[in-house]
Amino acid sequence: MLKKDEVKKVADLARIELTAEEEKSFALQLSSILEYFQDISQLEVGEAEVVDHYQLGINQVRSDNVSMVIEDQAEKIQAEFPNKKKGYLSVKQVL
Amino acid sequence: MIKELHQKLKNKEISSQQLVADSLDKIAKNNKEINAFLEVYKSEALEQAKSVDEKINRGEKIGLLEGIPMAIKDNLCVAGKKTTCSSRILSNYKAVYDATVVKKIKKAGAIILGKTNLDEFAMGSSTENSAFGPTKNPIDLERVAGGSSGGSAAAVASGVATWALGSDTGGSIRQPASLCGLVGMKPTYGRVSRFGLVAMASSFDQIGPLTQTVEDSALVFDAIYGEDEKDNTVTQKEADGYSFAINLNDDLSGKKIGVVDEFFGKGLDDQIEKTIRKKIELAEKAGAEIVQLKMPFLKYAMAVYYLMMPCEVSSNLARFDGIKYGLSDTTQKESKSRNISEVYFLSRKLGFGSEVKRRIILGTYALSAGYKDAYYKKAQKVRELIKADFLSAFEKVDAIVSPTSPTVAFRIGEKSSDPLEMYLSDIYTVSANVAMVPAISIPIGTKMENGKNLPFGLHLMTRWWDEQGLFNLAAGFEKLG
Repeated sequence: MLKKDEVKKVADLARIELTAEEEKSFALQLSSILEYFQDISQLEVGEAEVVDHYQLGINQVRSDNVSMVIEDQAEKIQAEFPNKKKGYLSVKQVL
Repeated sequence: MIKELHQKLKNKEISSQQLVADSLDKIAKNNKEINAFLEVYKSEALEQAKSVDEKINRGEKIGLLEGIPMAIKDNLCVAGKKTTCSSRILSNYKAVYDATVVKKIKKAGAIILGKTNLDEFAMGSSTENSAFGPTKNPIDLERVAGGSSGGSAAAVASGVATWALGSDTGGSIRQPASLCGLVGMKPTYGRVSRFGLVAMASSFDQIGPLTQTVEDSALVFDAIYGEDEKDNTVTQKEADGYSFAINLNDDLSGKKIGVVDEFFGKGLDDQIEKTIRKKIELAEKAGAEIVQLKMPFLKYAMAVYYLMMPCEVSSNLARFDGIKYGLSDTTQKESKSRNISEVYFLSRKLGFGSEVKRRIILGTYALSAGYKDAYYKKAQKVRELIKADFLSAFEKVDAIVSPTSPTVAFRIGEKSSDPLEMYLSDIYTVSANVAMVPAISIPIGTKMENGKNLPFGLHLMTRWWDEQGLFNLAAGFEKLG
């Protein structure tokens, strides 16, 4: 059973502020979901190998060339910045 | 459907402008109620239709998808257009580029009617988790259209779009297809480029078509599969220009079809079970061989999925921070953030809905120190055992058959208070994403409830990269009626 303060701690790690009500309901709901996982945590898996892209999948590679962002694309990206100064992304004080 | 429309366009029995005008009319009449579309590209669609008609009038050749209206799930980027993922956090975000699939269908001349509703960031099985309200099932407006590609399914089922694109992480194309009476297909992981698809769980996500027929599904697949230097997981097995639609063969004779007990378990609607079993008998009469299979690890697919997926979600959605794009606490009227950390916390609080928060927190928990080995790493290993089950199954059979969803469309609100119960709507579809194999749902029957004929689907999976076999068998079952 997940406790409310555990939920709060994980929410902090995930950078999400929860309401008191959410903390309570998530503790309950997440507990019931985690219970569902008990099935696999008991399972004997031996030396099952983890393969990223099973069977015949080949990772495609391309040459590592530097290419400039097309100018108006840069503007479009900047247009999505919540805050900007002279084309730079502006953020609140970090330190 | 697509082929007939294409013929009619070529023969000038109908114009692309008429098709688009008809779709826009239906949207004007029904969308308020059904809520399939979040944004409609009215003037662009009409303009594009006009230029296709001019092309036809000049006697130029047109492609199979050209001039035919379709719809796109709103987690795919269309340059210059809003891409919201049905989330408040992206409600004003405009995509800077086209997703590779969007580029491909634009090149094929398909007419994009607009963007369709989904569960926020594709997390859900009913489209009730959208920040912009649920999509209703066009067959019964009191019921869900399924999800997460519910808007795309409703757009096709209501006759507005001839076909639509969706994305499928645990069943998000196939389950709404089942609930809306459509064909929904999820390709092998690595078949279709995910570039420009807003990521949910990167080792499960694939883009695929929602259509009225199996042939249409193959036709759309022809237009979207293939290598892309922007997604290095994509592999192409066939020569350029290979057509799955042209090579379609609906002959079931000699095909080996596997049946697994786990897919006919507790919670499956009686009538759905009877109908699927009846179809399997009919397939046998048509010359297919039915093989009973044992897949001992299959029953763990749900647990593996609902553990690994939130882990990948928590990592993928870390990018929504209120800093670079999307909703930011700093631009709110009552902004409270004083430093960068508070910008993260408050932007994410405002921007994300409950289900998204729940999954991020679950994923963060399962990946946190002390739990990672017990949860994530364990699940990864079990995933490999499930794949091994599929590998040995496909040494014996060409396909595995099952229902798509345990029930017909449920009522809006019926399952929204219990996340685990909602998750169980994906019980038959998730294993394909866990094992990364291709899968399809085709409409196979209906169940009468309160005077409405509610559809349900039959689900097929084939071995990795065998989309041709998948379409062939689906066409075979489709023909059984």
